[in-house]
Amino acid sequence: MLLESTNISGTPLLDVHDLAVNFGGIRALKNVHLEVKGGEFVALIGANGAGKTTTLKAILNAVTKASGEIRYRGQPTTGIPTHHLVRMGIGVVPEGRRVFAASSVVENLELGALERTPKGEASAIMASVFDLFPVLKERRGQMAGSLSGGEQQMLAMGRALMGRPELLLLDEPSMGLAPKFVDRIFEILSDLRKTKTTILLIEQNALMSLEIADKAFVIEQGRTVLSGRASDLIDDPKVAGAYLGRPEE
Amino acid sequence: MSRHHPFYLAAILAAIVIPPFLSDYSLHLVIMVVIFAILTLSLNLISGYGGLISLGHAGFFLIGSYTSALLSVYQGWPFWLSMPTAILLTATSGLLLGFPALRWTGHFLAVITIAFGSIAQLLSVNWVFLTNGIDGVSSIPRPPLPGISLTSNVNYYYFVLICLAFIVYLMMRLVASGFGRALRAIKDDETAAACMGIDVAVTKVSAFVISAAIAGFAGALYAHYIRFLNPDSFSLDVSIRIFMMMIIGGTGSIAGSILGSFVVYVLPEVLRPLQDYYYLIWGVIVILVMLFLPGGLISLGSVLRAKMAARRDKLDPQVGSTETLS
Amino acid sequence: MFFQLATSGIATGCAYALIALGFVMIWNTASVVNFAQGEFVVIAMFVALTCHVTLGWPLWLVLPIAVLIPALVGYATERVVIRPVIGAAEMTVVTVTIGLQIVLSDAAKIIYGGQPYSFPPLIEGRPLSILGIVVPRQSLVVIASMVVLAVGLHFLSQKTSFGKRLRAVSQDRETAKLMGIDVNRTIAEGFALSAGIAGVAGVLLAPIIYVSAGLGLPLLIKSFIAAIIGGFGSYIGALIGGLLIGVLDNLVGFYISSHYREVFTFLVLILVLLVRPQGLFPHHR
Repeated sequence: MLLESTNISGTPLLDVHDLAVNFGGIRALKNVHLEVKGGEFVALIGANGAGKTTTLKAILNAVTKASGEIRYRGQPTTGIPTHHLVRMGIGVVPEGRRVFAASSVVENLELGALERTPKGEASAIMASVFDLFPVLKERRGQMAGSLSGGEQQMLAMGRALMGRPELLLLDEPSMGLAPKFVDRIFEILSDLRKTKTTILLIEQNALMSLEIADKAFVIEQGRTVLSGRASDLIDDPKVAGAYLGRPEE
Repeated sequence: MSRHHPFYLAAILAAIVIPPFLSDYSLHLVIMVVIFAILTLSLNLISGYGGLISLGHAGFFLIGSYTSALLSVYQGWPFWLSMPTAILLTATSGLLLGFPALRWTGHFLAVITIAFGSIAQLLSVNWVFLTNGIDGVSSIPRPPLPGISLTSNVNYYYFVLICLAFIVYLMMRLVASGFGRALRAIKDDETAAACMGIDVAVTKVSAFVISAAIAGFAGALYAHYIRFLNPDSFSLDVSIRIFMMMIIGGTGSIAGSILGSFVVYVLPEVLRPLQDYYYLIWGVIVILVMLFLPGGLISLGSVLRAKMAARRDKLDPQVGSTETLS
Repeated sequence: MFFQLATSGIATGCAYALIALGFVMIWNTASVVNFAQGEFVVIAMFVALTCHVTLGWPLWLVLPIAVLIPALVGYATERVVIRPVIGAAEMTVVTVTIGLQIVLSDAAKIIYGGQPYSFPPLIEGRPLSILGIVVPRQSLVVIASMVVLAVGLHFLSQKTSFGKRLRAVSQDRETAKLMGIDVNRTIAEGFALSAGIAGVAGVLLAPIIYVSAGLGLPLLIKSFIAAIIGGFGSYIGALIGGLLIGVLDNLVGFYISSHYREVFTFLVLILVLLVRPQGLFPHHR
């Protein structure tokens, strides 16, 4: 009920092919591909600066791609402005939370629904969000800027959920959070996964991402270098050495 | 630079050769073009190269003009004494804007400079005991030169032209110096500049002081040319006009400053029938320049050349994308 | 006498307050300092002048038109001139709005000439006497309009979806896009609203001061200073700042000298920047 669970078999919900992006005078992405099928939980992992956030920006058309194809629901997204893509069903939890600090928790959630959810349904969805994140209910009248990092992350997630997204994009939700909150965030992510929501998680924290994802893509220096089932990748020695802190066998 | 040489040479030649043959009115125009070119250069130093908005340069212009005028008319000082004093005084007033420029940038600074220019004008209207108010100061003498009479406008033109050449030389040295580089670094990114060891405060304040000095110099040249001053000539409109000259001619360009002054003064004469509309046209040109040609008219040549080069590259299949874009 | 001056100062101050309000709104939503804000006031004045005085149309028709036209001009301006430079370097943005100011004020001068025109009061009748102060009915209209407009705008920003969009865009443009908000359209609408508010100020001012094409820049400077005094970015600050300027102008003009009125406004600016640069109501973005 919170999210539209889609089960499009065959056609991926999000399909990124041969993506190349120029940013700040350099080729930030050279050849990225990834694919998210309806109902899947996909992780995009990679080191700092590998190009994860640039990929997200390209998916949202916040940067123009130099070449390659991005399709959402089978249709090419070229030229569609960010806010349109969002209205088409993509929910975003941005890097760094980006809550509206001068607005209250409730106002932030309302903004998540403003352009995407009819008014009548919005209150029901807000109730579900409060069920998912009881601390937000407690602090509903507080200014978002006064919340802790972890609480802001929950608010950002709740805000994205208010729009009943078809595809939920999360950009580094664990960044800068205390371990207690990181655990909590990943708990919530696996809860969401149970609702068969389509999720694309972009993360530096490879271990925890691979533990809950179905599939994963590994990006390195602007290229997709590995892909496959998350359970396989966890055991892959290449991944182990570079991203999981285990010495290569 | 080498591509431009023929144009610059032609322009310099024209500036030297043509004026004696101009009518009285046209001669007046070119003298004003030269004086305002110096003013535009002074503005370009802090706004073009330094990125600090100033809409109060008429204030410096005023201080320079009135100082030299009052000293020579009421105190009998010779030009060669009153003019340097005017420069000195105006330079000191540059401190009044230099220090606020440390704390504020952008639009805040713009308002402060407007306040400065407006207060300068308002005081010159109201402090009748000093400036004679709206009645103005008259009978300002031309500078005495042994052998040459500067009472002739043609001779005065060459006099200010030499002054312009001197200021151009000064600007070229300033821009190329460590100070100039520091200024441009501050315009790009103030924090980064500070991290590179640049003393931002000293650079900014010095920039305002030097800019004020040059504007004061232009003021003295103006006062002794026009021989009659009154506060009307130093309004906010004048500050905006200098700003327009800089934008239209070319921000951050010495040749652009001169071109801007020329275009803003001469174009209305050329387009006589449109004379009532020329302010409107300037406004439109300013907007168009900002949207399409941020480097000003002086950059038209290089922009066109770059566009043609880009077109050539597109057609040439050998030029492909590489890891790094140049 | 003091209260007499203060009261009439409040009336002009209300108009300054509204102009400053619109000015701050554009700054908050688009990060643009609109040097042409005063010109929207002048447009409204001349539209009202032409429709009411020259063409003889009734006030109930003229006033909405006089507010609507600047709003449309504001919208068009944003789309054509401002949108390309949103997010660009500050000097670029300032220069574009200065160019806009020059174009609009010169257009007014070309059409109407530089001379002053007078505009009849919006409401007829003898001035009222309240607590011994003579209050022209026009002043009451101005003050009442300002209050109504301020309350209405507050309601608009808190309760309507347009207002919520505007506030989201004011806080974080990029994240607003991620909420599905059409930021470009919202900014254009904000511009139109600001211009409309300036138009209201113009209509209220027209009977009080002489209408002339050159009013734009002085009005802009006053409202800019009002916004700074109030705390740049704060709406309440803009309102209070405008009122203060209006009252101060009057008081200085009488007690000190009419020649030094303008100097004083600038001196207050300098004083505020020296002593409390964040203004009366510091606004954190």
